[in-house]
Amino acid sequence: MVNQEKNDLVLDVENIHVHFNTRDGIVRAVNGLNLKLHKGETVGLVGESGCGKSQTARAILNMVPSPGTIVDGTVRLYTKESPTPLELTAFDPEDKTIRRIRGKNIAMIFQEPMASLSPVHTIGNQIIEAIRLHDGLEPAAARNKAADLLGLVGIPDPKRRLDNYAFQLSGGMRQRAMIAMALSCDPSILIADEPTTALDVTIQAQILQLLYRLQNELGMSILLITHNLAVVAATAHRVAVMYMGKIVEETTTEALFDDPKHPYTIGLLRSVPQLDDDDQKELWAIKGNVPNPYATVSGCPFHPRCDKFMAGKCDVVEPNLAEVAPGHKVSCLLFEESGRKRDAAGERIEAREGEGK
Amino acid sequence: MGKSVSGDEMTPKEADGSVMPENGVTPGDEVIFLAPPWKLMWWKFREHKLAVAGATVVLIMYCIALFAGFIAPYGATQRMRQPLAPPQIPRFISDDGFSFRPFVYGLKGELDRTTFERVYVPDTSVRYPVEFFVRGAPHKFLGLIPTNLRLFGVPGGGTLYLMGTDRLGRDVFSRMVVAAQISLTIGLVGVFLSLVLGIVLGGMSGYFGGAVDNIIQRLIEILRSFPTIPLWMALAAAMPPFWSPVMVYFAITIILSMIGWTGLARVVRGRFLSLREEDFVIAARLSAATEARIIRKHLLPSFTSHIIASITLSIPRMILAETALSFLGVGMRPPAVSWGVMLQDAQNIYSVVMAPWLMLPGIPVVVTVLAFNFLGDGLRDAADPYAGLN
Amino acid sequence: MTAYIVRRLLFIIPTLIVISIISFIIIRLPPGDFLTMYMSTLMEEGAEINHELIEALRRQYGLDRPAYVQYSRWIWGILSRGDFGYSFEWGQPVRALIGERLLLTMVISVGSLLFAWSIALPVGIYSAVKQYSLPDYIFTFLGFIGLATPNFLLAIIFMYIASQYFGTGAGGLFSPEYADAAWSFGKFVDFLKHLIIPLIIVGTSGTASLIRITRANLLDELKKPYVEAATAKGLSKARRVLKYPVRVALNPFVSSIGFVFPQIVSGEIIVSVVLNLPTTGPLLLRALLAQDMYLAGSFVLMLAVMTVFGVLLSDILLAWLDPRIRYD
Repeated sequence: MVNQEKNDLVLDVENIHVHFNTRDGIVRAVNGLNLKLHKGETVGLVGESGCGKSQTARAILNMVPSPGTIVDGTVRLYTKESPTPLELTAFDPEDKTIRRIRGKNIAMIFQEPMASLSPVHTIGNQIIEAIRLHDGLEPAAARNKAADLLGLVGIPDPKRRLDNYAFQLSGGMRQRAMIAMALSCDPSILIADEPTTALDVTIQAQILQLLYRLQNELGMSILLITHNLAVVAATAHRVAVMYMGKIVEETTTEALFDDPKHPYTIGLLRSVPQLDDDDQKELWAIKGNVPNPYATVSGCPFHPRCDKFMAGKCDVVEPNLAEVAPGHKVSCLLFEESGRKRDAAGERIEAREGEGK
Repeated sequence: MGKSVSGDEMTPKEADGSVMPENGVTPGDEVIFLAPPWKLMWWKFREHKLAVAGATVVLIMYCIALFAGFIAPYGATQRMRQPLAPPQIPRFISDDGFSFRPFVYGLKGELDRTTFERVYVPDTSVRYPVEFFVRGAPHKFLGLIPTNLRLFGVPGGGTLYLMGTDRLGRDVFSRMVVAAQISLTIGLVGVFLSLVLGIVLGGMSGYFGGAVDNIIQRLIEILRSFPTIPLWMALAAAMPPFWSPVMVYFAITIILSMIGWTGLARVVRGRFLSLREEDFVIAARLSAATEARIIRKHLLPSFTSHIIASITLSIPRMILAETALSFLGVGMRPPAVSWGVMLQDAQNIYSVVMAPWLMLPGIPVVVTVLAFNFLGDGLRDAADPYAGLN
Repeated sequence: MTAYIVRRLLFIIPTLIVISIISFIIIRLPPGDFLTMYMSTLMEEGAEINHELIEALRRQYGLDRPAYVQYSRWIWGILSRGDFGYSFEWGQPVRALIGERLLLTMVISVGSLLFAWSIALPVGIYSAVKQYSLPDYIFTFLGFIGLATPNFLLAIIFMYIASQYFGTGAGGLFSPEYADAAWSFGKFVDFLKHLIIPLIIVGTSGTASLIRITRANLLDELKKPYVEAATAKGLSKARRVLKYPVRVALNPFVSSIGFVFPQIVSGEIIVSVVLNLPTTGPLLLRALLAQDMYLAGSFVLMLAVMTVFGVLLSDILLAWLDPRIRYD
């Protein structure tokens, strides 16, 4: 666990809403999400496909693809250079300021390294482009730095590899090159959107180790987006579980695996097959399916699939994300009662937010 | 038809170690997942407004060709005494006010004293009402029943040249309607022949693979790098002049398809190869389905839709080719009448300047080709009803 | 890259052989050999028949020998002496007749291709980037019309408009005073002026299909993750569109020469008949109608050979552009 000091907040996502206006209706991809990222911390953002986790990442960089728009909420970036936080959501997506943040302060790596690298430009060309864009280095200096970066992410013979094309590299090497590109301007935040999903299991482990090592060496914060609980368990300090555009539970990794609170989280953990499971035991699955993206579910978004569903309550009242134990927030009516009783205490905890856990 | 197709599409592509269901199936989605492919194709095609419009136009065109004799007020080779007469436009309003029955003025030919050319002026003193279901020149309805009943005309000694007359005094509109028969069918017959060639050679290429595939593919590449018009011209020019129009017609379809098959062969081969690797075909093979059953139940259904789409896109190319050849005088020859044959009259700039209506047969060519292209685009999108479903 | 070019060059050889066989078949297509034709024409005209000349020609082209011997003599004549045969209609060796006309056909075809490119690339990019905007709809509509209008019809319309509204003819490549003059700067300028209308007419359908190709490919590419990755890197919109997807979409654009160029050559042949250009078209048509087969066959042969080399050049250009081919 990383020890967290006061005021080491680097990113504050508050009540963000991303809507997609399609011909068939509005898709509320992100629906009032709150998330904080501290210095040197890895936060895992977990959820099923389509729960809005990738759009959250894009909203942070203010680059939600059309026809999506950020309709509400703010993203604040804390930097060493300025005493007041920079409000990223206030800018036009093509604004110069936000373009300078992308790649320089906040970098992003993607799910499919092959598709995320241009097929007709060399790796070096793409890394050098990023370096020169933000650092304004001379071509030769930028090339040296690019080679250093490739070496840093563990690519052998980096000078020669600069002139390679994406299709000449293996899957793992490509993702390493992507990471090198993301690191080109020493970002304080790295958003990794499913960085290992498209890779073999053995390569997955290598990439995760690499991210872990780089974090220790460079001290950056990582927002790790994944649908794979195993990845989170291995790397994240804190975990936020997302369902239908909202965070339903947020706590430390240990607490999540030892003492999950939200029925959805419990369901997720139960549906992971275990090696020591009895052969006869059927694999557990959460009943039902993710609702139609156009639908709006009244009350708790999870209630149609919840096995602790309380009629007349869960389908009416929308739960809030509230702290039920120190550093452990849940959005579920099962805990709302106790939460409300401790309203005063909750506020005190809120005020202490960010202190050690 | 191919239920396994939809079943296959629903299989989530689980990533390793994943615990999340990748697909959300709602009751609304279930209707889509359970629909047979042809229904999905129809839904998808229906959404494509231009394609529906294209289909309608194509249908109307073929109906016109089918009932050409009935629709045309005159025979295609019937010569009137007024060569190069300008179009007579049916009117509703005259000096006496509005009349519900459209009428045309009479046509008076005068000799221009300075140029010694015949010029026509409307004779407003005579009016001929346009009537429907009139008796005109005899023709064979649907090519079978002899009759003289025609859709419309002006009885009582008047003339109705909707699009003027050509140099020999034949009604351009009537010829255009009758020409649709050759122009529209030559594409169909030509495509049918190309399809046979394309399926045989493309299928062989895809089925045998190896050296056979290699040779056929190289041959296709060579034929495709040929400029087609000179080749077509050369082949068509070799037709003996004494051949009857029917023989010329079939010779042209053969010539067009001899080069036109390459595109279809590519489609057939490509589909063959990609389908062979599809999961649902492998699944059928693993469940011990016979080869015949796999072809009948799995390959053909997903095959035909693509083939139909490619055919639809090939027909306009054939129509354009026939028009071009006939225009140059090496395709269909008079007395046969196609749009290309008619446009040959417009080859000479002097006659076009004198009688611009001789260019009018170009319009049905453009309209038909456009309609087929829209229709084909829509069919191609609909041919793969599962693409873009999720 | 070198290996690719060598392979591509080797592939040219069988292509050329097939082309020459097809051209030879065309020469032999009309019933009876051409000397019999020639003799009957001469007799119709009441001219005296030079039996010695006929016999000499018969021996030279091996007309009394089997087809493959005739073929090899014909090919050998072309390769060793540049002898394409004899045009009986013109009473001249074919070589003297086709040279300049083929060159002008190629000038117009290549010019039309460049014209098509220079219009199609910016329009295609604009249409894709501003998908479903009004200009996109207009370009798409015009593209469809361009695709559906046979270019000879376009030529007729141009001629009509030119003579009706501007009082000039649109035909020809040279003004009368330059038609038979030797090449000079004045003639060159005159030629360029006359070239514009043929380029537009011949290039239209190619432009239309190239716009469609560019638009469709670029739309695909714009959705690719590497564009998003470029955004995340901090690139401006113009730069990330022009540097990445446009660059990738350029490859199908270049490879489209393979099928657009033969179409353009075809179009040039037919348009030149309408516009009466001193290029291949009118002479080829006349040769075919008169069954002057050595002339017609040589035209077909040389047109095909030139097209094949045009396509070869485009393939090499593509290999140079696309590393995936270069390193294959």
